[in-house]
This record gives sequence, C-alpha cells and structure tokens, in this order.
Amino acid sequence: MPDQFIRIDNVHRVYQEGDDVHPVLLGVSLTVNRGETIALLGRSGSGKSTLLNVISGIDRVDKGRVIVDGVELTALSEYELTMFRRRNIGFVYQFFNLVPTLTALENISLVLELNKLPRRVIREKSRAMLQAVDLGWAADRFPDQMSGGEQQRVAIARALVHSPQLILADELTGTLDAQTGHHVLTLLQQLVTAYEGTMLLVTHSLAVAKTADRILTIENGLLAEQAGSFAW
Amino acid sequence: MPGRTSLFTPLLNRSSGRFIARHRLQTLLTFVGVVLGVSMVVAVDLANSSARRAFALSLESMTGPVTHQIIGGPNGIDEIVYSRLRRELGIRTSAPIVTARVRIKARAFTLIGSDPFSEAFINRHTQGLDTREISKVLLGPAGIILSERTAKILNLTVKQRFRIDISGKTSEVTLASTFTSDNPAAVEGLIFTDIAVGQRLLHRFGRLDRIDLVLEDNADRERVESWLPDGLILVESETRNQSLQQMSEAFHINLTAMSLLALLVATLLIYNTMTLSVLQRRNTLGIYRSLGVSRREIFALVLGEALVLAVTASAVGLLLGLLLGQSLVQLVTRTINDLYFNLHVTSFLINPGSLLKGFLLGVGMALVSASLPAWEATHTEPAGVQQRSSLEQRWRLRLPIFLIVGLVLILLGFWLVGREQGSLVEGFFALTMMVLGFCLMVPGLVMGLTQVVVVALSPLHVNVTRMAVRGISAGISRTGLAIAALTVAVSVTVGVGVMVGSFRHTVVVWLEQSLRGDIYISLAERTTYNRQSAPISVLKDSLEQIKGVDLVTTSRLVNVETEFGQIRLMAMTPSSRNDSFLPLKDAPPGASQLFYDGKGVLISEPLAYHEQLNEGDSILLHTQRGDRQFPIVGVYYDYTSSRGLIAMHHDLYRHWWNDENISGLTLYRNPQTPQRALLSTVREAVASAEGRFVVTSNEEIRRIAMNVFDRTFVITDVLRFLAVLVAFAGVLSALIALQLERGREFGVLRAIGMTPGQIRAMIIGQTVLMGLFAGILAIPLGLIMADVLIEVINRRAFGWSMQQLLPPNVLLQALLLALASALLAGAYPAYRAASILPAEALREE
Repeated sequence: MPDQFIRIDNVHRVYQEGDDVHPVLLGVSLTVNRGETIALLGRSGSGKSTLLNVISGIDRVDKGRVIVDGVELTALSEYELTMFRRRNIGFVYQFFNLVPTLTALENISLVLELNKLPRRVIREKSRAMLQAVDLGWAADRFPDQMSGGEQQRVAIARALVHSPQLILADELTGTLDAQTGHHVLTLLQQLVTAYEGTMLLVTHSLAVAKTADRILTIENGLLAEQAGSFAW
Repeated sequence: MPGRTSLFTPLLNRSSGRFIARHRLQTLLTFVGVVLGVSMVVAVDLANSSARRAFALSLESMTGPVTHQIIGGPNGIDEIVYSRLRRELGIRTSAPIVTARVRIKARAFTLIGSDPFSEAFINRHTQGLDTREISKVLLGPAGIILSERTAKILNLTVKQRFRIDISGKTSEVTLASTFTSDNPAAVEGLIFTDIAVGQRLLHRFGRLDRIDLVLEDNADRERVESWLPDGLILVESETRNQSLQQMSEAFHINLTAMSLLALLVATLLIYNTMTLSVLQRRNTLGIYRSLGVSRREIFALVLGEALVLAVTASAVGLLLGLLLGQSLVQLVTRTINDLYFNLHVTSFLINPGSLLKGFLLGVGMALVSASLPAWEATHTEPAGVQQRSSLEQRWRLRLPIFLIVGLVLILLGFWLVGREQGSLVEGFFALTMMVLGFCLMVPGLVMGLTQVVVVALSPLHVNVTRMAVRGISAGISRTGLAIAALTVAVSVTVGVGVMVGSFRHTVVVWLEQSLRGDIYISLAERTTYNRQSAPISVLKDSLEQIKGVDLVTTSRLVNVETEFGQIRLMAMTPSSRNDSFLPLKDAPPGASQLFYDGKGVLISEPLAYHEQLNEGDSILLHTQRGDRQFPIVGVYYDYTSSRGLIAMHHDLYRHWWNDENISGLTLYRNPQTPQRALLSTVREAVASAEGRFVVTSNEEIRRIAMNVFDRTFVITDVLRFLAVLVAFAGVLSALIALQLERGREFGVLRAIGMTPGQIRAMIIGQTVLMGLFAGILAIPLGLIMADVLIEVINRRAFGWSMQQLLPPNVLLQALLLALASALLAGAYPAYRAASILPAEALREE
C-alpha cells in the first residue's frame, strides 16, 4: 500500500484585481505518494506556481483542502504555516533567491539556524551539504561572486540541508544553459532520492519532466495526468 | 522538534549588518539626522535645566527653611517693625533682610544683609555658610563674606579691601571671611553681610527690604497677618519663588518645542530610511518568508536594526548635546538676563534626567517611526508570490486616505488653537498635529504638482524632462517622504521667520509710539528702591535750567504686591507733550483723560491676557495705606515684560504709597534745539552731578532694545539651522537610495545612448523639482505655523499680540533654501548615477 504524502481535494483559487477576476485553480484534486517525484507542466500563467504555493502554504486557497504528511495546511494559522514550512519544505527557485548579504555557507546554515539546531551540527551539516553540491571551495563567497549554476547549487543545498520531506522546485533550470541545467537537476534528484524525499517540479521542459515518476499538466485551472509527449 | 522560535537569529542579524554596511552612506545620513535631533533636545534641555537649577539654587540658598516673608512697599519696612514682631508676637524665627544688586569688578552679585543672631534662630545654613561666620563681619566697619570659590574667581583674599559698586556709587568693603559650600554654584552670585553693614552700604538706614520668617502653623500665620501694620503684607516664600520661576517658563517651553520639532524631522528621516531599507530588501525578506521566517521575526529584525541605529545615534547625540548645551546655556542665560531676572549660570549642570530624556526620546521616536516600515516588512509576500511594484501601488491607493487624514488632523489642530484659554502645551500639540497632518498630505500634493508640471512641460516634447518629473511620482513612497521632511524644515524657517519679522516690526512701531521723550536719564543700577532720591531731584532742577529743554518729567518704576503677586508698576508724570505716551489697545474714548485725572490705572496687554482683566475691571494693589481696588481704564501695548505692567499717574502713586522717590527723568527738547547738541550738554550736566546716572537718547534706546531683541532670537536661528541640516540629511539619503534602486534603469539609459551628462541633468532636474515642490509646499505650512505662533503660542506664552507682517524676503529665502538644499543633496547622487557602467548595472539584476 503506497504511503499517501500529499492530498489535495477540490482546491479553488481565484485572484481579483479591482473588478477583474482571474480564476487560476478550479477544483484541483491530487494525491502524491511519499518519495514520489512529480513534474508539473503548463503554459505561462496556467497556475503551476500557484499550485506549488498552495501546497507549501505560502498562498491560501479559496475552497478545498490541502493535506501534507497528515497535516491539513488549510486549517493552520499563518504562524503554524510558517513553522511547518520551516521544518518540512525545501524550495528551489528559477532565480535562486539567495540572500545577497550572506555567504554561500551562511545561506545554507540559515535554515538550520531557524530550526534551532546546535551550532556544531549547523556547521557540520552546512559544510557537508556544500561539499555535496561540489562547492566546498565557495563557502565564503557571496551570491554576486558566483555564476548562475553555482548559485543554483547553493540554492539546492539550502533547500535540502534540513532534509525536508517535500521539495518544491519552480523552474530550477529556467535560467541555466542546457548542460548546467542537466547537471543541477541530476544533482537535486540524487540528493532527494538519497533520503526518499517527495518532490514537485514545475517546468516548461519536457526533457526535465520526463525524469519524474509522473507528469501532470495544468490547463484552464484543472489538473490532468499525462503519459504522452508534449510540445510547450 | 525545535521549540518556539526566537526573535533574533544570528545569521539574520549578520545579514542585516551587512546590508547596513553596504548602504553606509544612507545609514550614516540617518545616523547624523538622529544625532542632530537628539543633541538638540539634550542641549536645550541641559541649557534649560542648568538655568532653572541655577535659579532654584540661588533661591534656595536665600530662602532655606523660610516659610513666609513680610514685604513692604517701594520704601521697604521700618526696622522697628522687626523689633516689635519679636517683642510683641515673640516670633524668634525671623530675620531682617536688606538686599540689592551690586557689582564687584564689573560682575553682578546679589548682596544680602542679615542679622547673624536672628539667622541662628532660623538655622538657614545657607549652603554651608555658618551663621557664626557672619558675626565676624561685625568686627570690621564694612566687612562682607564670600564663598571660597567666588573669592577665588574675584582674586580676593581675607582682610583684603576692595571696591563695591552699589546703585552707581562706589564703596569700600573688606573681605571678612570666606566659606566653603557643598554646592558652590548655589552661592556663587551671593554676598553676605551683617544687616547694619548692608543698611549702611545701601543707604537704607533704619529700613528693611523684607523680614524672613519660619512660621510653624496656620495659627502663627493668622497671628502675624492680623498684627501687621498697614502697607505690609505676609507672603508665602514658596509661592513667591514659584511665581519668579514661572516668569521664564514660557521661554523654556518655546525652546523645548523648537528642539522637539527638529526631532520630528529626524523621526521622518528614520521612517524614510527604514522604509527604504525594507523596500530595497523586499526580495530578501520574501526569501526569508519562504524559508520559514515568521512575520514576528521579520518585524523584530527591522525594528532591531532601527533600535541599534537609534541607540548608537542617540548615544552620540548625547555627547554632542553636552557640547552644544554648553554654548546654548550661555545664550539661554543671556536671554533670561535680558528679559527676566538676574541669573548666574557659572557651572554647566549635566542633568542625568535630561540625558535620559533625550536618549529615550531618540530611541522611542526611532522605534515608533520604524514600526510602520517594520509592519510593512512583515507583509512582504514569500519569494515566488511577490508582485512587482505592489508597494508603490499600495502607496498610491493610500494617498487619498493620507490626504483625508492629513486634512482632518489640520482641522483638528485649528479647532484646538481656536479654543479660548487653551494652554501653551496644548497650542504646541495643535501645531504638531497640523505639521503631521500636512506631512501626510505632502505625497498627494506632490502627485498633483507633478501632473501640473507634466502638463506644463508637454509642449516641449523632451523625454528626459518627462522622465525626471515622472520619476518623482513613480517613486512617491520615497520622494514623498523626502519632500515632506524638507517641507517641514523649510516651513519652520518660514513660520519662525514671519513670526520674528512681525514681532520685530511690531516692536519697532511700538518703540516709535512709546518713546516720545528725547533724552532719558536713569540710575546706573536698575533697582526697585531709589536710594538716591535727593541727587536725582537736584539733577531734575538743574536740567530744567538748560537752554533748549522744554520739559522734564519724572517716572517711578517699582515692584508692587497685587492680588496676582508682585507686578511692576510704572508711575508717570502727565504732560502736554506725552499725551499719547502709551499706545492703547483696548480703551474707550477718554481713557487717557481718566488716567491723567488719576481715576484709574492702565494695564499692559500681557497682564490683561494672563489674568483675564479688561477695561472696566479693577485690580487690587497692596498700597502703603492698605489694600485698594484701582479701576482699569484701559489696556496698552507693552513688550518689555511678559509678566505685565501697571501704569499709574505719578500723583496717584505718591498718594497711596507715600513715596516721593524718582527712578528716571525724561527730557523733551525744544524743536529748534538740535538733539545731538542737547545730548552733549545734558551729559556734561549729569557727569558733574552727584550719583551715577545713565543718559540715553531716544535713538540709543531703540538701538539697544532692538539689539536685545535680535540677541533673543539668536538661539532660534541656531535651532532653525540645525532643523534644516537634519532635513538636508533626509533629502540626501532619499536621493541616494533612489539612485541605488534605479541603477539598472540608468544602466539601460546609458546602454541605449544617453550620455552621463544627460543622466546628471535628469537627476539634477528631478532634485531641483523636488526642492521647488518642498519650497512651494513649505510656504502655506510656514504661514499656518506663523499664524499659530503669533496668534496662539506667543499670546499664550507671553500675552503679546503683534501685527502680522509677510516679509517677501522670507518667502524667497524659503524657496531658495529648499532649492539649494535639494540641489546640494542631488549633486552626489547625480555624479554617482552618471558614472554607472551600463554593463555592470545590467548584470547586477
């Protein structure tokens, strides 16, 4: 019996700007098993990132339920959501989103420090993670002193250093060249598989999507599972 | 599982520290703003408290355990009253006192003559002065006692003989003894002597100035009151001291308000900087949020930064305040001496309360002003859901609310100042509300002004100009605040400038109307008692004989006891030449005649305002013949005393006070006689007369009066200058931040072919426009401020009314000041922006 890790029931999300109403999610339902990697494909503005944000609790739903690892996120307070995110979720973004005023090592340590781990553990884990992404030499470099690929590797290290149960990657190869993108993706998948994390990948690239266990598409606010090939 | 989150995380703090380090100049400017704001508050408070403390100490050293004083009229008290008091009522805890202002080596002192044996009963122990010391002076014919420190300052040793100048006459005295005091500052301006020596030195044989008493209870008080001979009254020494102290209170409050205004500008600066720092880090804060940093932690982080900045800047502000305060105390003392009473502030008092107050105000205002940006920061959306330009949009949506709230605050302020009989503090509170209200309206008004400029410049079809103008409205959250800070600072210049200008003009006109005589002669020392009545009467006779002198009138200036405490009374001789000697304010036709007929008195405007008196009312005066109600026949303009004055016909005064003495003479010349020639003749006559007199011409008095006036406002100029400096730091900080934010935009402009000169011109154009907006907006705010200062603050503080005058140069100065500040502040950001390397700027994103 597979272990159900994420369950989304009939989720609706509508954005409103003045009198304009933009429905983005119109009754999305989904289940993801523990350890599974899901690729989410869709056109720009189709609601991929919104779904990711809803699953991570950084965006609210208008209707429906989101349950992650048995915790109903839609019932949590803002503070509880923040704490849940801090402990259980790792993010990787297209534009890396590293803290510009912290070095590579400090960027990685930040999540552990927020989780109040002992200093020694923080130091050891962060260094190990930096080594794991092959950036041991860049510990004291600031983001603006690194290339895009290096920054994305630091972002991966930061997302995984606290071994989160759920990794959300939003267009992580979007700004990288094909070779670097491939390298970064492989690295992420290796690390996530190593501790059986669950991962949701938002991408435009079919090549990236094909590396996942399942491929989902989102269109007109609805989710569909696909098995064939796509040309976005 | 980790427990509840801690508000401070070392790495977040480190990140903040590095952010501040990367924006050094911006942080430094805010730092300077807070330092200046706090230092002004501390300096003014220290100067005020030094002056107040010096005054309180000198009062305390003279009062000691004394609970009551018996006071006579202008001629003092017959010393027999003192003997009778001890004999008939058996009150031993009493001491006879004579006192006067004297000079030793050109320094002013207060001479106190008392009876050492009586002092022993009172147990006054004047700040370490053993009463047995006083008895030593009995050994010498004219012995006095000084504190060791005073003797040292004057370079005097025991048994040394030296000269003392009393009411223009020099006497020789001996330093009989010195004493050490626990608090040397308290006794520094005092000279002690035996009562008999004092009477002899002051030519007050058989007379006392007052009798100090220590009364145990109400029964004693009633006993003394019912026993007192006519013309004498019993007053509580505490009440008397308080009323003396209150004389300069409005002046202290005004200074404090000015310093708080600078702190308000500094607060705007902190708000501006913290908002900018939140804006610049929106992305970073969004990353924090998505990593699991709670809103509380973000709030604490931003507030923590403001706290560190405020604490360090306030600490430096305290040090600067200490230095500034030492200079300011001299200005404060000089003004108090000019306007209120003789004050010795020889030591600068570092009052821990002032330091604490300044520090807490600096930190508190910083935290309050930073809490809004901190709250804004907590609403930063996590990375991934951020929408660009949402903050500017939010600001634009809020502009109408700001306009309405601002308008409501201004209207509330007007309502508050319109209330009759409001307090001075209430007046300042209303003024603050108006200033804050106007600040809130500034961004909305700036948006409107930019629209006007865009429309006006549209025929030019120059994109650079359009970009410069639109840059202001596009970044209104930042430019609006910078313009608001500059507007407030410049409006202070307009407001205070118009007020001082109006006041100056009013005083000039008033002097013109009041000084009808040609030459004025008074005793060299300004004392209540005239101990040289005979010489001045003789002088009057000789002056009347001089060719070209039409008329010589006499005047008498004394302090009298009234139902409202001690008030200065001016007794005047009527003459056909000085019919309109007092510029009347509220007086029915024939008021002058009633005055000349001795049917009533005139009171000055401050007295009428403070005591709610008007023409038709009456005022109770304690005369030598007992209490007497005098009808008030009119109110006249007077700017010599904020406490107030009573003017009375000399004959009426003589009748009720039995005082034939004269304080001064006024000469009216024959119109054919040249003023200069008559002045030298009079000076020669006065020089050969007995006694020391001061001869002053009409013009000289005007010049001296205006010098004192201008000196009084030097301190205001210093504070105004500092407020503008704080605002300048604000504009510079905002412009630098804007330039940093728009680095990429400038890079693009450079890449598409704009020259560094064009970029520079665009930024300079933008800053000039910001300065122009601030200058334009400062004028209505400044005029509102001037109106409140003239009609409310000055009236409530001093009771003076003045003619409002709009000096055109003040408005021009305001515009130039705003433009110059903005231009100066824009120079560096323009230089920086023009030197941007397009490739680097584009890569940074």
